[in-house]
Amino acid sequence: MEERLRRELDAVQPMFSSPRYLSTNRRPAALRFAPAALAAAVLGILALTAYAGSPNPRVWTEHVFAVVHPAKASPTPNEASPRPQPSPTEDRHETPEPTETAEPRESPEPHESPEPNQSPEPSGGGETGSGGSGSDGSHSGSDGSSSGESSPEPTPTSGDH
Amino acid sequence: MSEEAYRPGDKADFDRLYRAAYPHVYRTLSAILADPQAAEDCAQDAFVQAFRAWSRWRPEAPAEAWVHRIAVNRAISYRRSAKLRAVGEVLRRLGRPGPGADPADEAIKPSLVAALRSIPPKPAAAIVLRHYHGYNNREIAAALGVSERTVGTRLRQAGEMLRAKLAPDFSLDEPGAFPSEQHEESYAGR
Repeated sequence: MEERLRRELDAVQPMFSSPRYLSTNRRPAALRFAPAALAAAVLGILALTAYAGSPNPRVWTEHVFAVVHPAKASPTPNEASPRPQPSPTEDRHETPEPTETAEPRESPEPHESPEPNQSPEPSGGGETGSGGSGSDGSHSGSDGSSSGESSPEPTPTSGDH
Repeated sequence: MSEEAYRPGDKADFDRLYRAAYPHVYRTLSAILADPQAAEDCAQDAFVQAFRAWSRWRPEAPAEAWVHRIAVNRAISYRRSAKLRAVGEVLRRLGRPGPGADPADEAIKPSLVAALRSIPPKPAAAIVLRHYHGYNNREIAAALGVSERTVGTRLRQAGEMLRAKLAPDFSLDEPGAFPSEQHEESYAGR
């Protein structure tokens, strides 16, 4: 039987054609990883779109910039801050409180500021000077701050000492 | 030519391996696959795959057995997909039987090889590696990627299947059936 098997298989002659492996292009390693890199790029784009909520690359840039530089990116108040509303005197020693109330270093809000030197009250024409002084009650701890350069607390509740 | 002469990753050595092993691999696949074109395709594809992995070949495993392993796996995949194609063909014919084999071809076709092609590819490959190429159990295990114990089981199964197809008195245990059973010398490659 073994001879029979040998006889029968020896009769099988391979077709001698050129070896197929010679025409195989061995792709460089960079190309071999190209599909994986492409898939990673697509996943990255999808992740950024989901994170930013927009397929616009400009929106992605803004989001990333806001994360990296939160102070520069947005002047909006930090609502997460647990600090109480400080008095203006405290404000001077610390960084400007990014609250909605007017900061002492910044220009006062015109509609709330009782600055005597600043724009007068629109309701009272003759109250330009007295209106400001008459509104001491609204000055919140601004005894020494009536030099004019800093604004008193516009809100009556803030900074009452 | 000893196996140690092959250097992993060396193209010239791979060319030598191809010239030495391709006829053996092709004949092994011819015993598994009925279609000569399919046997050639699988053999060529096996060498392409081996060429790509040539730098990773370890001399601990014989190079020809290593290529045989790749080729047999390809042949198994081909036969598996051929069954699916056959099922599709039957469905396309709406269950009508296809054209039968030419009786003239049956008369001249080697019956032992035909019997090998009709049994599962793994036992058939074990028979060819053992009784045609002269591999021992260790080399067959390396070529098929199985344990030596599994090789013995496959050889037994193949013998039973061939006996059922060829002759009742055919047996691998017969002393005269396969003289190489008497000794376990390794003479892989010719």
